[in-house]
Amino acid sequence: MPYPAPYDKPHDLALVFSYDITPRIGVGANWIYSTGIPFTLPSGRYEIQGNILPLYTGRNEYRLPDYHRLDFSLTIRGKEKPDRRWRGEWNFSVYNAYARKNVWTLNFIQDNENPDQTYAEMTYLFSIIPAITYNFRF
Amino acid sequence: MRSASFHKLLIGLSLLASMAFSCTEIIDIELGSTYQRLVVYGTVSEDSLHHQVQLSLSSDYFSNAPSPKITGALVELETGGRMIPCSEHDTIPGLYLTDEAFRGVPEQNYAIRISQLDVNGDGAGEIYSAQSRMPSGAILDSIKVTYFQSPFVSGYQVFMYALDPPERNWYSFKIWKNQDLLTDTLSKYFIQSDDFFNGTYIFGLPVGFLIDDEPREAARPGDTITFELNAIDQAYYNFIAEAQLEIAGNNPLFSGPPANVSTNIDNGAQGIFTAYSVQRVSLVIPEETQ
Repeated sequence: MPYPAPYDKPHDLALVFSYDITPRIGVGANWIYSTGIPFTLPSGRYEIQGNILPLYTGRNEYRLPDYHRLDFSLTIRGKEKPDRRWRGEWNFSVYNAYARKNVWTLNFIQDNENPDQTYAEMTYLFSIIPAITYNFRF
Repeated sequence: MRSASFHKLLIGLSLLASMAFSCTEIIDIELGSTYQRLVVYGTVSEDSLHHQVQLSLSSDYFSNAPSPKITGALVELETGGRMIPCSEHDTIPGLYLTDEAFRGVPEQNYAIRISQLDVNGDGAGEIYSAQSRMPSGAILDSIKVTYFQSPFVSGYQVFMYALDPPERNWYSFKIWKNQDLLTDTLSKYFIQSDDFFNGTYIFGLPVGFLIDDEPREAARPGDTITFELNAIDQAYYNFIAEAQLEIAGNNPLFSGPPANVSTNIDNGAQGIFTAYSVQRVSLVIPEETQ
């Protein structure tokens, strides 16, 4: 029985923007978007000895929420000196600028106090990550 | 070692490692529906008692209500050519007990037949059946407890000494601490196949871990530890292993794709019917082991 591959992304978009404000200062941004990956989730449940067990009706029948994030960067290049063979630059960036919680995996948990109640609990890897980098080239 | 506690510890540690910079959040998702199925959980053991069969129905994933129970079905247990009728419990719906209390016998076949119910609501009744042969399994000799200490987890570890027969065997283990059954539900059962010690004498197989951090499990010298060895069939072993995997959760780095827990009930039902043998041994934790 065919099922969607785990890497099946009908829509996959990357918008990349970069601009040099001055010869030494550059800014950049990118926005990545892709359709949520197929995922196997239950369509029903049954209970044995108080444990809730899932009923699956197909593999990768569902999809996780779509993935998208926005990154910014600012690069400041050091002054070019004729007697120096290397050039440095500072880079200030923000990964996932609007802190979207992109779903990495989805699990179901039973409430400890009310065992008949189940929740969908998602795990996300990164929220917003600012970074400062110093690069040099020679 | 395939005990549920260490399995959970492993999954827990791997989830911890992969979630070092990540978090969890409860979200709302929409799930579809599927047709209702019969769910059976029936066991016959070597103990002399009214053996039980529980019948219920599946439901929508977020139904958030106790599973619907099946009342008024006809449940019959067959063994050695004779039918043993079962009757419904007068106060607990969905629970059927054998009319007579009897001791299951190793190497005997047991079959169950469920009829007079209409799960798919088409007006025609259905018949469900399953069978299981009670294995005899290993001859239990004794157990030993030693105290284990580590930065992650500490507690008394229980080891089993037994002689495993040459054929393929599967086991489940139960542990009581002072009359309190610690392995009281599916997710806590310890199971083990004999792949690594088939046909040999088992010199101290780890069969239980009483974690100090769990108040109910934490044991001290003077506590009585009772160990029960069940020789189970392969269908029940697979059922428990798969159910525990589904209960434990999914980690993309280490987990395989989720799947329905296997069953030995026919006609599209879920659950399990099994016969298992019972051997027990107790000891009191001595002072010197800590």
